[in-house]
Amino acid sequence: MLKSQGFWLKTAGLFLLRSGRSTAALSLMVVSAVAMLVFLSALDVGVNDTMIRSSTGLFAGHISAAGLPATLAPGVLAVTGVKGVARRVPAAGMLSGNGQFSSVVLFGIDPEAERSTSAFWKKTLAGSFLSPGSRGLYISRQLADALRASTGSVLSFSAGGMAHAKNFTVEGIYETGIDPLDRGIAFCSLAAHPEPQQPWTAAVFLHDGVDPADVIARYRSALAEGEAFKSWSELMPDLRQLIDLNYFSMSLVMVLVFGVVSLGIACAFVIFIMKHVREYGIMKAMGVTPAEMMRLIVMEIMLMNCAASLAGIACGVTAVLLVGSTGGIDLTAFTSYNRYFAVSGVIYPRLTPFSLCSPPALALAFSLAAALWPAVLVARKKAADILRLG
Amino acid sequence: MVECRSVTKTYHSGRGTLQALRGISLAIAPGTAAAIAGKSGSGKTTLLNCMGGLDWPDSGQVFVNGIDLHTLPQRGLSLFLRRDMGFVFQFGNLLSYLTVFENIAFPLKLNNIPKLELERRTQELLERIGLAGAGPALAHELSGGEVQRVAVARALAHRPKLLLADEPTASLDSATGTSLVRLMFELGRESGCTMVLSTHDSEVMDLADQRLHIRDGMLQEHPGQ
Repeated sequence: MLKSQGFWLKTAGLFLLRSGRSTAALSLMVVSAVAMLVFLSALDVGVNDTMIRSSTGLFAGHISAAGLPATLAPGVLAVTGVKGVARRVPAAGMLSGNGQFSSVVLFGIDPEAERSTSAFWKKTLAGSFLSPGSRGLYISRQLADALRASTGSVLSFSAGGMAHAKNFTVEGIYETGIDPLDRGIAFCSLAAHPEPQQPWTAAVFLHDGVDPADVIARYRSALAEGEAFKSWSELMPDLRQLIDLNYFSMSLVMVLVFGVVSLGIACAFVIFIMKHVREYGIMKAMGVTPAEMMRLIVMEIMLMNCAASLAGIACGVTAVLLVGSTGGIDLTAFTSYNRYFAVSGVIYPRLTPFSLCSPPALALAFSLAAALWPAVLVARKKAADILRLG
Repeated sequence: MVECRSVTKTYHSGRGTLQALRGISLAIAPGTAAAIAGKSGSGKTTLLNCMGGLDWPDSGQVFVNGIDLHTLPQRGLSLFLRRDMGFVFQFGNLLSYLTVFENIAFPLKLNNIPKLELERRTQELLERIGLAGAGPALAHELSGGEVQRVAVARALAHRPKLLLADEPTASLDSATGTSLVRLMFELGRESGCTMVLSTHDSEVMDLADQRLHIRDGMLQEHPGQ
């Protein structure tokens, strides 16, 4: 028994290096499979990122809370990891004009804060979004149609607690394509809101990679209203499910893809080892033990896999970076009517430890499984039988 | 040194049953160079495989240095082979991915021979087989005769007690074959190695100390011995 593994490692390395074309052909399969899976996995993460970014970025934010007291300043919520806080003061009432009536929730907003955080204002169809200090109204197309209004029209808002109705001029008309945002909602600036001291709702927008749960935990420990804050995954269970479903189906695809690829790899491995079977017989005749033989074959496969996997990861990462630097993959044509892609249909693949580690781990597992039969065959058979095979 | 007692071996295949060895008994004294002759399919390779522990007889015993090879556990047999045995085969002897030097040094590595001694012994053998400058070459860069000389050097590098050569000259022309066997016997005798080879070549037979004939799995002493 050799004390050092170095001799077997060197022998395995020489076997791979000097088997030239066979090693290259086999490695190419592993390289391409790993590269493809790294890219697919990153693309999967990118699709989910886009859905979360779109769903939270349009209006709701990553964290929402309702019924916050007017005395609570939005700045208090701007803890580490928070990109911005949008304060919205709702008032339920009736909007009328041109002899038409429609019940609405009128949100008093800070237009500047909305511009730096949310994206619904980008969905302007006519006119413009509100400017700071504006006395105008920003309404959905559905509402404009119902009230037969267009930009410049004067609409009147009245609510139960108001002594007199308040007139607004329509400054802009928008359409998000998302029913809850397009039906029964109107916006005006906080300065023009008839009831600015009403409890407000908060939309908290986070920087990329910040976990909403961490921020909520900080709110709950610091604010009396902490319990009111909920993350997007609590408020949008449909999105949470869709993302989980996406991860599951992509994982399934990855395993299936690698399963198919591994069949090819398995066949190639068997051919690779059987091509050299006589040499294993010669080694056995020289007194190499079955355990050493197994170790040698496993080392050959692991060495080849490690090198091929590293090359595959490099190719996959290069593809991800290349796609990222050239503006992502624009799937707008397939997502324009999908509310989960309301802000953007551009996918930016993103690498995660999982997307980097799972493909090479799969490759190694499948390759070792594929090499098991020839390794056991070589280790268990008598030298004379192996020599006859070769 | 080598003793076979009533060794039998039968192969079963789609073509039927073939009795390769039919109760062979023989003894080869230590340091002897023995040659076994016989037609193709007479059982030479099977006999050598059984003598070398590469194959198991159905019945009978094979003793090498007093040890019944086929009672050893697999690992024990492997360690016995690496220490006390050397093999030369008819073809495909060398590990294709190792150089000539690495091929000869392989059994020395297996036997944990220190690096300096390993290099000295390997270089000396390379010179003895006339391939002093061929150390870095790979097997495919050598001629058939050179491959077999390297195989002989590798089989004797770790100074085994028994060398078994299965038709080592079969792929060579007569002159090259004879000079190969001369070289093998010369190197083997220097280290006191017992040698058994199988061959078709009568010139090679004449070089051996002990000549045996095998026919239909049965041994016959050579009439001229």
